[in-house]
Amino acid sequence: MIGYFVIAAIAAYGAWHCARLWRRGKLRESVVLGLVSSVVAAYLLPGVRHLPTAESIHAWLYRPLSDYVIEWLNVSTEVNVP
Amino acid sequence: MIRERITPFQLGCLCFSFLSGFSTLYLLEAKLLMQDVWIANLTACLFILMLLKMNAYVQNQYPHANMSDIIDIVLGKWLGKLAHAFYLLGMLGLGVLSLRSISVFYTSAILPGTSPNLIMLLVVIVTTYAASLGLSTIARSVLVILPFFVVSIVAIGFFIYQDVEANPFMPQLQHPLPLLLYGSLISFGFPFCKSYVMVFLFSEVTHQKKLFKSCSIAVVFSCAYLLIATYLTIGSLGDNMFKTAMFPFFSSIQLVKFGEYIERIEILIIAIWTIMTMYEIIVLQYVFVQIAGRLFGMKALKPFYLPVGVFFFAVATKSFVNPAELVAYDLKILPVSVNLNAVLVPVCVFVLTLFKKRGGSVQELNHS
Amino acid sequence: MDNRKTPIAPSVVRNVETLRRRFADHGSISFHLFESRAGEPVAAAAYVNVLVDEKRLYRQLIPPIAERFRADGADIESVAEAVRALGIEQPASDMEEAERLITDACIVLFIEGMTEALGMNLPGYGRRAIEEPMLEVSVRGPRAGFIEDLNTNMGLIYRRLKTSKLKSKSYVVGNESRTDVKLLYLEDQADVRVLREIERRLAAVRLNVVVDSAQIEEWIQDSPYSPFSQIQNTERPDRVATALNQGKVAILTDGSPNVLLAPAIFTDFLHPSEDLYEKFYFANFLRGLRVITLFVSLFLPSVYIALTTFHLEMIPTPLMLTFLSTKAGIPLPTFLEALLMEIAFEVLREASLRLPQAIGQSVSIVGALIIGEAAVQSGIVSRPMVIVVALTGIASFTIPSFNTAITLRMLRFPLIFVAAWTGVLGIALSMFALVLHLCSLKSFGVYYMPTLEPKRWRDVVGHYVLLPIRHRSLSKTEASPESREGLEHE
Repeated sequence: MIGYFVIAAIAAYGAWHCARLWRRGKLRESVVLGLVSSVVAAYLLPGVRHLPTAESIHAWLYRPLSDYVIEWLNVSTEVNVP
Repeated sequence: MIRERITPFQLGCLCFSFLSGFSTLYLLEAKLLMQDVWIANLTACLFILMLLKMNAYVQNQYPHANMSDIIDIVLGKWLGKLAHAFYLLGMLGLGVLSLRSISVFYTSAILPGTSPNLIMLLVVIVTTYAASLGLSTIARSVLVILPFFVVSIVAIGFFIYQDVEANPFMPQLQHPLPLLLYGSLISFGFPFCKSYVMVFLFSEVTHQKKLFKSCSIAVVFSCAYLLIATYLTIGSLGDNMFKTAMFPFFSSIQLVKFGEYIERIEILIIAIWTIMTMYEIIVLQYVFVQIAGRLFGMKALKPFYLPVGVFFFAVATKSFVNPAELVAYDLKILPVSVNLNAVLVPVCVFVLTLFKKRGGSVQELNHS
Repeated sequence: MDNRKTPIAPSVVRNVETLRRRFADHGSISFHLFESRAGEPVAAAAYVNVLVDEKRLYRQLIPPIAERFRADGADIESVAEAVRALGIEQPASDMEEAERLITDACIVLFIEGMTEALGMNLPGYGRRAIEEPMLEVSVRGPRAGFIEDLNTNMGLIYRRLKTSKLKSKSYVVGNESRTDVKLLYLEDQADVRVLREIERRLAAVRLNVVVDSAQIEEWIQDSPYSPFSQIQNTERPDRVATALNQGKVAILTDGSPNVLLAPAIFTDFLHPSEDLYEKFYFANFLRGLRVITLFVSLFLPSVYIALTTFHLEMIPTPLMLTFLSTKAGIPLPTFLEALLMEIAFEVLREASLRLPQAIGQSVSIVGALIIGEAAVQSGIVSRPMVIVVALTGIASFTIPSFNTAITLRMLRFPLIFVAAWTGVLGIALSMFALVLHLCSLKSFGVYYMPTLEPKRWRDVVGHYVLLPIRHRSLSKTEASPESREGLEHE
């Protein structure tokens, strides 16, 4: 429900501002805004599950290094999470 | 449009709010190191002061450019763009973490029946409004909120202190060096290294010579606040309860009673604390838009605050769905991932600036 | 717009005809024709009989002029000199100017052979006596309040500031009403950039009819869409004198008993002028009380809703049990109860304002007592809710500025909704949004919300705390250096 509401809002906002920026000759801004709005809408679509997130990219980039550091230092990083 | 600048005092207060909002939420390094946590906090603090000094030095070499321009000048166009992309990714990660942390905290401690997405959306609406008002307004609002925060935290700290029976930081040096090292990394990753975001605001400060002074005071105060909160929390909850509590500082606040009649005053503190946490997301959103503008060569940035805020929200809805993932990320990935943005790039820029200064190219650039 | 001017004809008869055409169906235009000894028309006086003092006109002005025209060998120039000597000294070079003088309570004299008319201000309309202000009542301090007459109001201020440094500038605002507006400031105190900005905005006012200073206020303030007024208005000359001494600029509008003071900051709206006449202990106690009532009037209903709906555990147990027992049997959720009572309270307040004072008081008392009691008796609302709403209402009445009190009352409603939806989180977020909004506002380049500044801490403290008179600084409301740049470039 919240997702649909946000998609509708960002689509309306994106379309309006894209047109406004385009009319003022700010083509680059207009294109980037349209792109950002589309990406946001894609993230919020209910069917879409496997889009990259900052978390997943960071984990993909840094997990090997992190595992290496933890193993090298030989520390336990377990804490309680209720 | 006239761009309003902020004073070093405002920068310092903003930096303190930015660092301290979430710093006492999980106290993860303290859960690992218990009484030796102060070593980790102080080490991280000293390290970040060193980095801030470097950043301030670099900024002072290019007084008329902001850090994004400086990165482009020093690293070159394409390497600069790559660095900016990493900064954006890092800031998005921090923003998502903050949004998720607020929603996890509220849904598990205050509003169990409320949707986490709704909480994040409401937060994003307010932070978007704040970011769109500009840095001067954000900095001025800190000066309104901060006195209330300080008074309420001092008052609550005083009452928690009455429950502390023994020095929780004793006996000292009970943990091996590798664990102390890793604890320092965690403390560096969260909260101190976040100060790399503040570096992008350096160019908007009126007195450039006072950059390091104002930021270092903020970092030191932030460290003191973190240490005091950790001391009081471990002291009042005891080792076992401290380790098992998801939000230990909040649990210690819950113990406070005013006489026999008024208890559970944590809601009042939470209201002020929630506002303080907002500053992290606001500053991230603001700087994100500025860097994105730089990356894509855009000048009209006002319309981007809302889409960027919603972008943070959209990514947050897909990230850290399980609170355990969030804690694991904070413990394992964040201490490593921040190093690129907070250490590697600034050190490279610093070293190259030094070289260029010797070669005289900095003066030439400033002159041009 | 047609900017063509109609010249004044040398023929008096033609001029009178032109004016008759222009003022056709006006109903109050009058002419007096002067004839020579030979019976020829030599001059005509035109005026609006409901605006000028006709008694004075026919006793002191008409007879000597008429006599002069009837005298032997009276040439036009000597008559004109004589007329000028009587005080008829505002020249009008065209018909439009003559029309403006006529509608401005002047008598305008057309003389045969002259292509210039002569006007003299002779106001004869009724004006209210100087009375105690209606809204800014004080226990101690001067009792005089402004009235609707600009000159009287100017006099009230000049009587309090007997210095040549008190300067004024005149403007005419409104295409049709041509309302006189005066700008007053103290030469060494007012910030020149602020003054220049006010002048620029006043000159840019595009209104047809200006009947009150509120219209000018809305037009010239920095953020007209904000619910908070960024220009102070007052009915008290003593307040204007104090404000001028603080470097503010006063804007007086003819026909309005409210004088605008700019620039204004948020705390100006929380401190009545009476604070200055009380011992500083007592004044500060009242200031503290007003800050508390500000929070109460804004947040009490929403906090009550949040606590009783989401955070019951925060209420002390005995109090919680009392709340729960009074809530038992009430069919409405707390949120609806609050909304209902708040609306009822606002309706009562509005009704008592619009009715004559005696009836208004009865309506508010009867309404509050009977409706409140009946609502509780019939089990529609709980007793604590009545107490909460009554406390909130009373708290809002302690805010000295009527506009600010209304703003706070209005903001209470969205806060009630938010509190019912997301409890303390919603309240915290709303409070933060409010702080952000207040911090973003400016009044003619001066930040609306005074915040901590180490270098100007004494001034900042002075905005909140009244220091003993010996230690009180002027706390001038200067434009911030950053915003000064903004003003210069705008």
